[in-house]
Amino acid sequence: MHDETDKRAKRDQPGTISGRTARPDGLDGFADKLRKVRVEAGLKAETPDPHATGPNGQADDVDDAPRQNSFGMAMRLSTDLVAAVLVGGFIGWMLDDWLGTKPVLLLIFFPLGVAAGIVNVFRTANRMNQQSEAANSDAADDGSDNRS
Amino acid sequence: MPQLEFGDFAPQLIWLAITFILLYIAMSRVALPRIGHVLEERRTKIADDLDSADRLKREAEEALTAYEAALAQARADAHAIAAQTRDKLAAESAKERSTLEEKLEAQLAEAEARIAVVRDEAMNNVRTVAADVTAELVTKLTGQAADQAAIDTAVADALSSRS
Amino acid sequence: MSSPDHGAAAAAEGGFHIDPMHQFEISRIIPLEIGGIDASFTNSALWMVIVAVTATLFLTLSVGASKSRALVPSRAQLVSEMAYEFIAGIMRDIVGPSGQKFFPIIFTLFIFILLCNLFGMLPYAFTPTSHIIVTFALASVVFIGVTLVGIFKHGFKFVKLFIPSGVPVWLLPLISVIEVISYLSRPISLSVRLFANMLAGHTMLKVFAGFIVSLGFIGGGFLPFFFAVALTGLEVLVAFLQAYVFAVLSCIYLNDALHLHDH
Repeated sequence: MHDETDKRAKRDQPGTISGRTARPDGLDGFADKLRKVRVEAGLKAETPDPHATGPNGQADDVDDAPRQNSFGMAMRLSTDLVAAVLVGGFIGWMLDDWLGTKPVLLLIFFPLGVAAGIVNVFRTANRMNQQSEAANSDAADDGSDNRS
Repeated sequence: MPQLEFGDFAPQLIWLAITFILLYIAMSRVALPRIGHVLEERRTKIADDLDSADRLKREAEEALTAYEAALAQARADAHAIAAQTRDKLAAESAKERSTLEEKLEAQLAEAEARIAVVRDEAMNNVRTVAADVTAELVTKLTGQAADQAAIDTAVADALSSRS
Repeated sequence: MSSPDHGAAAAAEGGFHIDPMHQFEISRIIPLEIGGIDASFTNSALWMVIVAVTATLFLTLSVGASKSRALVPSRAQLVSEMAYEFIAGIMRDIVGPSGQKFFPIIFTLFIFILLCNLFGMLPYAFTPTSHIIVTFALASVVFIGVTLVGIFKHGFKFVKLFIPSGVPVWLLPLISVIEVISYLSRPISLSVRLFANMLAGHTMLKVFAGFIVSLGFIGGGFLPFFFAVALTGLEVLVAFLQAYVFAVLSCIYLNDALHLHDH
């Protein structure tokens, strides 16, 4: 009689341990799934996530924005340059016409237009670089996310 | 180049203004609010669904915790009952054993007492018999009655040296 | 395969026959004059009306008024939502939340230019955006609007846009003039870019189409035909890209005016 009750008590002890560790696994997996869906839907995760995608989950909407090819870039840069030169020349010409200083102001404003054009080109190129860098870093982020 | 026909500028500009303004009104008043509303609705719906999923998950966890608590409680109760039973049984059997032992002890003592009495009796008998036999033997051998006192002393000596 | 000599001769002949610029000519469908101003309904006006009507019908009707519309969108609704999210994403990235008020105008510009560009690819269609006056008017809307927004928001401080920080004082007048010219060149480059792209693309398409017709498809015309097919694909991309660039630059200019970023 003594031995039997002892044995039963001993058998129950390990059973409780294994039972407790086995069950919550399913719920934890569900929590991960929920978090993932939330990120995909562009919603902020209610519970902080150790492997969150980025500062904000919505910013990658423009990810699929077209990336300009080099021809398009060249077109853009040249229009930026030419437009400023045209504007500079036009201002000089108009002022000359108005003030009767025929070639002087045109000669002053034409180089200024060229300078403005170069400024334009510089800015546009800068912006393009930033864009492509952002795109690259985005791609890198995506890669690391997939790996983890 | 047809693009530089200045006479064509006015009609293009006028119709551009008309169509663009109408399109802007249609977009800003009808289309965009409608699409925005739909997207917003879907977003809140998804958020709500996720929230309720979260809530259900939390409830499931609570239920699990409660279940585990109940299980642990039941297990503890079972242990207590088992231990209690075990103790009770042990106490009972110990009591039984001690009464049994007491009884046996008493019987043993009784038996020993009886044996002692019997032995004493037997010893007395032996002494009488030995004295009688000795007296008889002495009478037969010597042809005269023996001294009763001497015989008693001799028998007592022999018996005490033996036992 | 026909001999190369024959093909070249035919191509030369066809090139002279078909005027690639003819497609850009304005024709008055309904002559009209209001207050001494020519307000005729032209082929350009016709296609602008088609664009506006199509955009309005599609973007309003695809998002049906039924209750079930919200959760599972139809294919057409998905397209509308994508366009919406696309422009909303651009604005969110470039301008931020303060640009929300200007979302409808940017969206309208994008849709209008996109559909003008795309519909212009159809046979016998007219491309309003291949005319500098139209693109210039659209760019002016952006330019004037953005300038007004900046002045309303910042008042006289808007001039800061032309005074970059960290420049020596003696250089300031020169730099400011250059900045003003750069600022004024915005509508020019905005409109010229769109116009030039549409003009070049459609002219090239027409030239290749002319080759096909003059050579005959079997008689060597299939080569230009493949070119024309490839070019059409490219043109669709360019049509989209130009509308996208226009919207993005409008957003950048708007952002400059709203936040007075020094570049």
